[in-house]
Amino acid sequence: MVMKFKNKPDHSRYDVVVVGGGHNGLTCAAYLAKAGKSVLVLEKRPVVGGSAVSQEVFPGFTYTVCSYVVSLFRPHIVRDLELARHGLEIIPLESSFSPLPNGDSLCRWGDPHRTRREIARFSAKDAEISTEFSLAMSQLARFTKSIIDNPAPNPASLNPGELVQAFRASQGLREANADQRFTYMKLLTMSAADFLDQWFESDVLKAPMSVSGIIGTFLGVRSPGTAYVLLHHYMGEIDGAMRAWGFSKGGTGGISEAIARSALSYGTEIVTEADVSNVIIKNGKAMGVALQNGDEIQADTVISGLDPRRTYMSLIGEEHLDSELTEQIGHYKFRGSSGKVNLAVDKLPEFVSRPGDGPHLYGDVAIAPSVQYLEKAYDQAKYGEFSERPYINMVIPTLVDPTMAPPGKHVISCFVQYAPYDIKEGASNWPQKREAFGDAVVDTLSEYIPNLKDSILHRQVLTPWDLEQEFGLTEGNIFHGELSMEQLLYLRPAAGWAKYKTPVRNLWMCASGTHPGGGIMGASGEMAAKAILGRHAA
Amino acid sequence: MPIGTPFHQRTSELCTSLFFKDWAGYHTVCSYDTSHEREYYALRNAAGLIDVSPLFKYEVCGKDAAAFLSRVMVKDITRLEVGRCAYLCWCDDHGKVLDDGTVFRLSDEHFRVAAAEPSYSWLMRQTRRFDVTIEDSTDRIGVLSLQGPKSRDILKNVSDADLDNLQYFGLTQSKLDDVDVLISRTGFTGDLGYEVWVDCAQALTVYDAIMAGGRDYRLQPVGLDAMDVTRIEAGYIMNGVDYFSANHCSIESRKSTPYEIGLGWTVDLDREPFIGQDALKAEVLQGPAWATVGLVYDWPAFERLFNEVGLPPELPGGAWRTPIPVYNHKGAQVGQATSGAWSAILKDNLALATVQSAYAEPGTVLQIEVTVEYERRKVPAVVTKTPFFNPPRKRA
Amino acid sequence: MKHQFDVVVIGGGHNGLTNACLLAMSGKRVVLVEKRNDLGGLAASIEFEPGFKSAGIWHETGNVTEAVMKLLRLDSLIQNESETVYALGESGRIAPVSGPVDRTVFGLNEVSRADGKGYLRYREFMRRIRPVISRFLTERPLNLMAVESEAPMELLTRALGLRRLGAHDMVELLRVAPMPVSDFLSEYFESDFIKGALSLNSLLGTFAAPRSPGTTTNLLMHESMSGLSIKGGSLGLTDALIKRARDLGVSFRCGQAVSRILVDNKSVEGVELENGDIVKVAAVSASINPKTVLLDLLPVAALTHTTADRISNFRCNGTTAHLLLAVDGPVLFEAASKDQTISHARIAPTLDHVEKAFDAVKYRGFSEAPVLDITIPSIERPNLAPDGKNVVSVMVSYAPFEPEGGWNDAARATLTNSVVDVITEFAPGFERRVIATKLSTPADLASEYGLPGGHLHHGEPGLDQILVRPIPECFDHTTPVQGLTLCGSGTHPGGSVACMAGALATHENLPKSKVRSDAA
Repeated sequence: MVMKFKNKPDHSRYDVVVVGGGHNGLTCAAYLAKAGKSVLVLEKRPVVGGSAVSQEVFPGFTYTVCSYVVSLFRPHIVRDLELARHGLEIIPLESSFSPLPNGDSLCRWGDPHRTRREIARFSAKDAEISTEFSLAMSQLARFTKSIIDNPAPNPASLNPGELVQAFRASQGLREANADQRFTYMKLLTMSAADFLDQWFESDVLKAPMSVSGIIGTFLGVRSPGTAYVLLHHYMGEIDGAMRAWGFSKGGTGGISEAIARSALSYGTEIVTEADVSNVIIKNGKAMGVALQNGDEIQADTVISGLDPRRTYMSLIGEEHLDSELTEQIGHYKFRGSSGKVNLAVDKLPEFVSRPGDGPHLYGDVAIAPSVQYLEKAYDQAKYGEFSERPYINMVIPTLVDPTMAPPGKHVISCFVQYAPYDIKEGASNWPQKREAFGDAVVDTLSEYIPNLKDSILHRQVLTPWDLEQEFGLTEGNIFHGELSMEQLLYLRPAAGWAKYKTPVRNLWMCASGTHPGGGIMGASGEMAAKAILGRHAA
Repeated sequence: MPIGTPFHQRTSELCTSLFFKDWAGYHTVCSYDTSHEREYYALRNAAGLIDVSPLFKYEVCGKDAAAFLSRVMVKDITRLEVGRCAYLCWCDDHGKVLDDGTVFRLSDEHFRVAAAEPSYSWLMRQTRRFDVTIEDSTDRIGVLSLQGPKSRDILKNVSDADLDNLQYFGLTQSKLDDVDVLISRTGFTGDLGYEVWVDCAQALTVYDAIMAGGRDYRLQPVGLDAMDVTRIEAGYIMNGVDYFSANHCSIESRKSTPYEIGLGWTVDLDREPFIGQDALKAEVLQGPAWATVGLVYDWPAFERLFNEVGLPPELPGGAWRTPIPVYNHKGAQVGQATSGAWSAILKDNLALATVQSAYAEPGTVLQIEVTVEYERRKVPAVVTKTPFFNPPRKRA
Repeated sequence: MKHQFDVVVIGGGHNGLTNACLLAMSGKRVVLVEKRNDLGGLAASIEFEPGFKSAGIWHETGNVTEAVMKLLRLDSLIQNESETVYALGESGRIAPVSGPVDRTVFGLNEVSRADGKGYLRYREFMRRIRPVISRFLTERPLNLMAVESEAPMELLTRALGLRRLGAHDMVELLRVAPMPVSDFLSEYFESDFIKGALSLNSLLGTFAAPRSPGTTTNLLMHESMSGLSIKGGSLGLTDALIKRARDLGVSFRCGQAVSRILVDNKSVEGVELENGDIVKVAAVSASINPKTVLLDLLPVAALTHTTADRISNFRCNGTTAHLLLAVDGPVLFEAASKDQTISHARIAPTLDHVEKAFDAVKYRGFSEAPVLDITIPSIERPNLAPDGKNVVSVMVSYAPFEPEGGWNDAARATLTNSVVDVITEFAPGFERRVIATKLSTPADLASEYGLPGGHLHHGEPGLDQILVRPIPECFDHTTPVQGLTLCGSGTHPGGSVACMAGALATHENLPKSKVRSDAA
């Protein structure tokens, strides 16, 4: 089921070599190949996708190994690369289910009145104000799109091109009225919990809502700056409709493979099990890449789909960088905080609070019973421990895509926070703690799903250390670096180097360590390709 | 999944067509039979019983209840007498309509608000420093609308209320089959009619009593489809159809002020501050940009269009809600008709439309789009003051 | 009939007094109403034990500007030297973290040469960005939510001011401002106790911790504006302001709270006092918390729903308790050398200490190891205590406004003892010399000083509540009610620059002061 590729390139010279076959690298490759370049993608692992990858880790069961849901994949990329024709299918998540320790639960649905009645059980006011809240957020989400879909202008630059870009990117904000701008400013600066406190009173509702603000960060729901991500729930576009989250058919690897097929159709070569050790640099110019096995490939343009630290410190090497840039890259923070637990089970999990099969299982399940629970999970991580009672976001992809497991059996995908990379024993000791971490997750889930433990056929536990060792994510940070204000927009990954270029001529960056950063969006890959093709002012 | 109203056991049994719809999360009958016609004629010639329980209801009580409601509503509620109802709307700080509904004064310190939209959160947010409590009584209270020329006789048959002296928009407590009910002389059909408000525990008793008491007067259970036609004849606008609550508008241009939807008459402008007052004062000075008007199609012209392709005139089965462009005599679009229906009793094709103020004068001849055999055509339509149908018995 | 006064100023703290003085200077007849019996607000002295007087709760005047002092004609009080604050670390380490730069670097070098170097870089950065920060804090606030309403020239000059930092510093400033102060300090310093002590320059009195994003902005605001001090400290400033006000003919009504602001047709008509007295005026200038003014003192009808909603959401969660101790003898910090007089010290041994102390307050608890900012005002002003004895004044972080179980005697005793224990760790024998204590929890501060939530800054100085303070309708100290002005720390620029809100609220142009080249 999973795509296989050759292990040696056909040629020794290409127009473009892309290091890393993650979804951004593949997107960048596809755009460049479509524009007529000869493109080679070199991927270290035996499969493509980076951390948007599906693998048959346990026979008969396909895990969406790392990432598991998608929302912001840019619709114009789906069209440009004809990804639907190449097999991309995103199935919307129907619901958000929050089971509670006391046996109660909350589920939010697409049906607004049904959702209103559910929320009303906890707070009548919250039930009604959800409409106003969603409307306000949707309006603000529109303003954000122009920021995500355009390169980030440098505010210190007096270059007219930059000013034009700034003008374009700020279009949304200029259209906003004063009330909306005030709310937007609050969103950018407040904590998710504080922001939601201004609208809602019920903890049961605020907790699962606030948690989207801390995914992939080393912050808590009460940390300033986490409210912004609430917008992402209102920016998701699936099939043109503004929806929140969806599964990809076949796991998120399905997205990467659709992009790979598209790239192949434009003539790209994709080679796996090819580990690039460094970029060949002469006189400040990239000439090609050298592989671990000694092979060299020449290229006019080299693109790194790796994170900034790997790109600058490994592919380029400190000797080619000035001290200021080295310091800037040194300041760029990773601090992975999440882990993943994938389970193969022989029966559908049954929740104490809503027993049996039911539509509540078809969406995402959040173990986030209260803001205090989430904040305490964060507190523990600050001092070098994984959360004993973590936040868990769980989906059961086999309910809508039964191909991922044998009939009647299921795959459960659990995203977990917090699991800090820097545990107090030292990151390299994570393997010793791996099983304990997995146990903490399963124990927590078992409080809500009594039949879980007995049904587990296989368990895969990925700690931040594993994410780093296996998937090349420095310090296990899933976004190639924290998404905090000091390293976003024109600062991502460093001031002056945020337009996909690096100080090495003809060496570019194209993955989440560049603007806009983030999850499975494809935006970095696409905008890097456009920058290389000269379609944006660099 | 919708849930049933307090009357669901009865209405579901009677609805042999299974034509239900989801009104605010409740199962409600569109028509009991496969066509709404019999129910419509019952409303106009005998009486009909409509389950309107999905209205959102709030009990507003306390020393400051009147002052509180006067601040929230566009109308000065302190002037509403006990035993009277007021139809009105309420707005946001910018004078844009959030909803329209009624306020009943049951006693000095007890009011009931009936709304189309859930409004508990909005009301609660305005209670700061008012000595007032608010109960969401939406699910506790069932509401039956008994409308039509025989409605008074039927109600006299089953309740002890002094209905001969119950004025239009008055209300009274009463016993109906030994059950305490509130009867208001209100309704959405623009005719003689009453609404009966009962605690859900005794809902079915009251339903049965009214149906039994109405049998000899040919009382019919009536669904929303028939009511929709009558409300258009009455010229009554609907939230979500003819205008949109500001809370649901993703763009400014969709929002409306009371003046733009024909509810300017509900606004008591010069008094103690109320929500939206400044914006409404400015609107009055400037003049509203839009107006909501009634339109009557030119019937012969309409007939001719269909005749040309060999068809009899195609009238919509019931009321329609898909917006239709409205043009001036030069063909420039000046607004949209948002709902309409063929009125069997008036023998006229009617519509409710929002048009630019310049074209709102009664008698103005506009053009309305009609699709005939997949081609878009236009027929003249005359701006007409509403209500289209206004029988003296409504207020008698 | 002519009214007796032109303006009522509500609240007699530094901002209220400043505002009253400036209004009087411009010819207005001013009456200042203060609910406590003494003027000075948080900078008022109280006799908490016979013979022992505090120097107020808010100690510092390091962030006073020449511009305001000149306006008030109190510039003679300015001292060109900021006070020295010592950081105390475990194992007897001690280092200054403020004061004249060369002396501070010298002291830091004794502990760590890297930190000495780091401090120089730190101070240099603060000096370079000062012009921009200073403009933001001391000039008329811009309407940031509706920038297009500002004159283009004004916007251009302000933007150019930022650009004049140079591309590098401009980007650097924009980079670090949203950072947590823990990350920022780690880019300059190695020693944990130095970072801990410096972090308090950002965090004191706030609902934030070292790892909270945005706290670097508070640090920058504090550190780039520091460098001066007032003769006599905070109390000295209070006394001088009171005298100046009296000389200018300001009338005072102390021991009286305002219960209502009277409004007719959207304009101020006067105020009603607690005792029922009515003072008719067409202008009211309120230096107390904006929430109190807008939500409690104004009639409900005076505000739109949106405005009432917004000010209700203005966060005021106080986290500081204040402990006064009457001490028999000197406070002998073990780490201090023989010739070192420590009148201001901080005990925040690591950033994690601060973070953990904050963790507790999130759950309405308080840590057994609170982080302390300690001053001994009786060293500079011996008349605050009997001969040979001292007053110790401690700002305790963090303490909840309303702990689980309430501020009962047991809770108060636990907190007090924790503070004494911590100090004793660094000054052996201290606990034996404590004669008396007076604890003010955030709840006590709330009721004594009229501070909602017990918040010392009159509202959280988080980024969102700094950029627009307190709400867009009041961004420039005006309110929806004609004649009502806000002039306290709950307005721009907050409390980080002494007396500035009180001055800016008069909408007068402050004289531009030269940028100090050696601000330290």
